[in-house]
Amino acid sequence: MSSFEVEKLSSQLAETNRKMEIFRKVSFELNKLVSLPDKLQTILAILDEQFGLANSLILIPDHDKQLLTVVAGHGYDASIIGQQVAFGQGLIGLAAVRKKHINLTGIRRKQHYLATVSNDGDLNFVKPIGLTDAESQVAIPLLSNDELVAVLMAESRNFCVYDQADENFLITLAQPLAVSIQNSMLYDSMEKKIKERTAELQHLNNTKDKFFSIISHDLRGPVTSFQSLTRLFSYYSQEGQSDKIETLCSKVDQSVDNLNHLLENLLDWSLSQTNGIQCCFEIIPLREFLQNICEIYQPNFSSKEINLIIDVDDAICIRVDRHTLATVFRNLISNSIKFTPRQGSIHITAVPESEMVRIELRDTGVGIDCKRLLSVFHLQEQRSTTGTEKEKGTGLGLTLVKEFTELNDGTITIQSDPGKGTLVTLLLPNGKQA
Amino acid sequence: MVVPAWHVDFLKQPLSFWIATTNLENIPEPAKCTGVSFDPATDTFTCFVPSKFTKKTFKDLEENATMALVGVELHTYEGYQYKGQYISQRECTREEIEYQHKYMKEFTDILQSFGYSAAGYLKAYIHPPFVALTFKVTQVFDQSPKVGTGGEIKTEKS
Amino acid sequence: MSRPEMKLEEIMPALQGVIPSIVATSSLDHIPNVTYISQIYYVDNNHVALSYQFFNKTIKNVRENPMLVAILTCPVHYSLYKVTLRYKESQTSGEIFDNMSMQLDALAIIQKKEHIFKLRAADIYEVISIVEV
Repeated sequence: MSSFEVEKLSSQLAETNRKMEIFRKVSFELNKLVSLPDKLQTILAILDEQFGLANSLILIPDHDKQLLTVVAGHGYDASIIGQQVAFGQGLIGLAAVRKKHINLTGIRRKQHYLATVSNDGDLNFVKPIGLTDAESQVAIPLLSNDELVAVLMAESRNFCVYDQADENFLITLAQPLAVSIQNSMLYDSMEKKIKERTAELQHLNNTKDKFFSIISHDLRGPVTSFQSLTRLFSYYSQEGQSDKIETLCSKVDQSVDNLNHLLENLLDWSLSQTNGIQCCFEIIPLREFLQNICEIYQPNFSSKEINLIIDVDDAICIRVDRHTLATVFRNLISNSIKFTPRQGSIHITAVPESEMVRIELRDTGVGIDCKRLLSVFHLQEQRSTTGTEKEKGTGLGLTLVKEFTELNDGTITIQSDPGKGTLVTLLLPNGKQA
Repeated sequence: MVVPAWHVDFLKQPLSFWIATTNLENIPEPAKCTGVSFDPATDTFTCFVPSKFTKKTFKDLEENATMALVGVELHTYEGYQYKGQYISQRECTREEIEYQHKYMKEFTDILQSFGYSAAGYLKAYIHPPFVALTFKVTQVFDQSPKVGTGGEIKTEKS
Repeated sequence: MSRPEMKLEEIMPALQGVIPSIVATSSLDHIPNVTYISQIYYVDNNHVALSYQFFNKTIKNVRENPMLVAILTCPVHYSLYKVTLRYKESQTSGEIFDNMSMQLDALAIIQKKEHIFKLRAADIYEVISIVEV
């Protein structure tokens, strides 16, 4: 073997070793448990070190939007991350669409030639992504099972010339790169799904916790109090104190009403959490609707001597689901009664406003301080509060009111000041417009 | 006159000039010119070529006197091909050698503005001694790159 | 004095289209033709391709006389190579045509001139000899 042949073989061996080393480095990076952009940045740095690719990018496709987005860049400003190229636009876009690598050199001369011979007047150089004065560019689509996973682009201001072996090596390197990117993206997407499911489970867990909390605290109370009441009944009966029995009966009545109200709210709330509510929208006359609901609470109005005024025109109608809206007003009215002192007043008005109806419920109650007002609709921050005459609640009421108002395509706002009463404003769809 | 009058000024620019010859077996031979001189009165070109590039050129011309010269403007790619009959060859004069250096300097300056290496081009093309090769034009063709290029350019008197 | 003959893979930089090449052809009645070409494309170790866009006389000549001689310039060392080629066939589809077409499209798209520049055919040539001039 001649010395020339030996030298040639040595050179080939050195080249093979170099490429093996690159493979090893790239494989090591690909197996690291780091974020995908960090991984890709490191790989681009390796390609610069080994191939002299001083300026390179990796872009990930969005097939729905037909756009490629830069996720890693080497040799550019940080602002290049996030820049986009349309499928089919420029070298990168063309490589993405055709799923074939493209290698161009002497770009500016060739562009100049095309511009001149097309006799188009202007030299219409469209500013590409990356270097505006690149003389050489190579774009390699990274494919996995013939699916485009990413595009690797490298460019230079020099008349870079890669030999066929270098080009083939880069294309070979593209394979494991594509698989790794795809795996990372799948991993990220699964992580995201897991987070979403965890949040969902957490929410359901919180709902369940609240449910059991209500059962263990708020409902047990009234049920236990029946026990005391029955003992009192027995005692007064033995003592012949029928007037006291009369008083007890009205207390039992009230307790049962409260318990009923609490149970209804609990049922409605648990249905809403499990998407069990089926709305049936109809046009209902508002005044009549409100009167029917207020009638349920007539004993409460009377016992606290609260003045109720319903100032709603007969002609006003709303388009709502009767059952859920009844829950809304039952809770609002029962809250107003609960927190309005003896001989106070509750005033309900309604005014049509184009496609909606503005309903205002104003009371002369104790009001809500601003700190509590901020969290009044949030279930997690609810604690049941007792009324001006020790009326009980579960804290579910206003949460339900908001949910059900929105279910009826409405909105609710509350304005209040301690000692100055509360104004609840509802906007609900106008039945006349439907 | 075969060559349009306005070509006289066109040819004074530092264009890229190449000649081509062919033997009777129709194997062509291109060669780089390091400058040309045009005489409009006689429609003759004197092409300056490094002797190093002319071995086959002169062999071809011994068999077949027909030759071609192309001149292309580097910015606009405007170009023309002049075909004709070889007349004679001789050594370049000192003035002609000076002219060639001047022409090549202007030529490579343009190439340098495009990003190429002037030194590289000079190394590639400047190889003294130079010969002066004269031929008489019989036909002129449009060589500018466009659809339908290649058509013959005729003057009133051609 | 010319060096001994070379292989195509030894002059790959000259086949990138960095510096335009000159091509000379001859008609059957011994009239030479010389013109510039933007790029001579590498096909394999024994073949190259020229793109068919404008060169009417060149194409006409090689259809009747298949011999073509090109001068390529290496953009790295500025060495000159005389490449003697024989016209083999014209392709309007296939991998070579697609690759050449894609290069042209990539340039034309950047300029929004893809409607003007379309590769009509890829002329395949067999390499007869390569010598450094």
